Amino acid sequence: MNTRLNNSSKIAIYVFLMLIGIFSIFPFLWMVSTSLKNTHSIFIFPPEFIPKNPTFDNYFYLFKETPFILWFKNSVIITIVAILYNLFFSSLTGYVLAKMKFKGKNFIFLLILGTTMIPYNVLLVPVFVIFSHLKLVNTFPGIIIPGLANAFIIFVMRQYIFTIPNELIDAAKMDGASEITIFTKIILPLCKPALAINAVFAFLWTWNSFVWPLILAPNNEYYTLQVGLALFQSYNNIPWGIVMAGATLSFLPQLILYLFLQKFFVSGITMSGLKG
Amino acid sequence: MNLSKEKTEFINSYLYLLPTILVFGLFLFGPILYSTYISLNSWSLLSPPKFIGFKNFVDLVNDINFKDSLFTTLKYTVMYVPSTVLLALISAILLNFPLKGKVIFRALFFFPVITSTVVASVIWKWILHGDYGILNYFIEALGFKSVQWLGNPNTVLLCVVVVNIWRDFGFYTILLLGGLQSIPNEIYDSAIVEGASIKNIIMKITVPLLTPVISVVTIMATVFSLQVFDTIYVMTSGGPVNATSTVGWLIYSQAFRSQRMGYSATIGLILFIITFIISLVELHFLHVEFEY
Repeated sequence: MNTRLNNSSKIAIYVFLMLIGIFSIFPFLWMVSTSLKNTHSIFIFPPEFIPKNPTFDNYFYLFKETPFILWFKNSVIITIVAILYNLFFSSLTGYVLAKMKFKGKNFIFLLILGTTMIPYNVLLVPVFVIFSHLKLVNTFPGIIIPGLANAFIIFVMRQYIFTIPNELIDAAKMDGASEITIFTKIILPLCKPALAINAVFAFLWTWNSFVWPLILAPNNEYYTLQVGLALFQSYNNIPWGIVMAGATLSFLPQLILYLFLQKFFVSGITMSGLKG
Repeated sequence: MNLSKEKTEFINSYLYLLPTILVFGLFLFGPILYSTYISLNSWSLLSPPKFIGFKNFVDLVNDINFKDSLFTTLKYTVMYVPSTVLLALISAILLNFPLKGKVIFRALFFFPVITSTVVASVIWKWILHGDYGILNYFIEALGFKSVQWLGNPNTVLLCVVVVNIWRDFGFYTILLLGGLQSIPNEIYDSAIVEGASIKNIIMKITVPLLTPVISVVTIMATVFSLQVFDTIYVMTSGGPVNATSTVGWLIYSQAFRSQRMGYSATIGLILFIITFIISLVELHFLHVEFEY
């Protein structure tokens, strides 16, 4: 909008934006601030917004006295597998649905899209029971599989590949290239922005996932970061500084990724939206 | 020649789709079908399932806990959906003005979106802490009495709503902003030439043109809110005195705390149907046309 704003409306808009901005960011600052305080200064009144004697004791405690590193490792493992799987197989599915001609294509596409309307609560019991039958409970494959079924990523890939001209594919076919060669040698290199969105969302989806690792891996050796943190904070008398240190470390990967790849977070959502 | 080409493409397509079909079958379609069977059984996991027909459904109708949880979920939805959509709409409209620094604000609004529900819940649990929470400090500083936010059945649901608004509104803001940016500038220009005020432009041009996006956002927010669970698990465990026992929480606690698998699956199916009906009603009233 190119409206010329007078100064008073400009100020009003900035005030609003600042208020919403503070609402958005204050909890993070408070999290970090608390994580740097010792048990005593957490309870000082009035509270110190910037800790007077910052300490990393809470972080050392996490590393030494809790299985935090194990949780972190578990989360990293399932997240990496989910990202690699989605980069290749969800993209391949997107390619098949965008460019190949076969009977039942629209049906499959609608079926995949339709899964976004399923409330995950419906799946809790049957998934748990099926996974128990298949001996997948308390295994890595068990907590990895939920991160692989991502209709949103398939949709984004399909929409993006759809815009690649057919001529490129036809020309390659003339030269005798197989579908899988076309996919790996022509399509994938042309999809870099979509692949970045794909990876970002596979990361967020898996790293932040809570319910599935919670019910599918009740053994503490398979706790992910989210499950570990949720259960850890529920014990009585756990010092808040340590909980906040855990929260800060668990948010760090998102923060780093977001600072570098901000535009893919945003364009991914915009692409998923609406006209697609 | 042509036929065999078609045939190879057919076989290849399904071959390439196989991993996706397997994963979706194992995690989504299989379980949905299986849950209708589980719902017809009484099953504690420790003993084999016992077929009991529609008894779970009958029990559900008479279950006061289920009715309460349904009411709590609807209360949550009524609080969450309009306020999130409104906050997102305001944010999007403000971010669409040609202002310096708006990229920074957009980035700030998006921070909560990438946070996990667990981290979001933990941070807010600490902010809302009844004795040492920073919120109560501000409230006392302003001369009011502190509140046991999460310990009081009258305030606890509101707290869960606020946490989820905080986490989600940036997501909807981005969607709405996408919609706003597709409105051509010429429309605004002619309105400005005719001397329309900003308020009029927003109410008479922006909002009506944005209705399709607002509708989609509303439906998404509704579907999410009917499932609410994570924040409740971490912040309240359904309490105090069931004040945050939503349907999502009931499904979990029936299955994994009371070992009533059949009953929990039944609640899940009913929630699915309720979600479906509410979305259809919203679709009808909001006139959304889907394209893909």
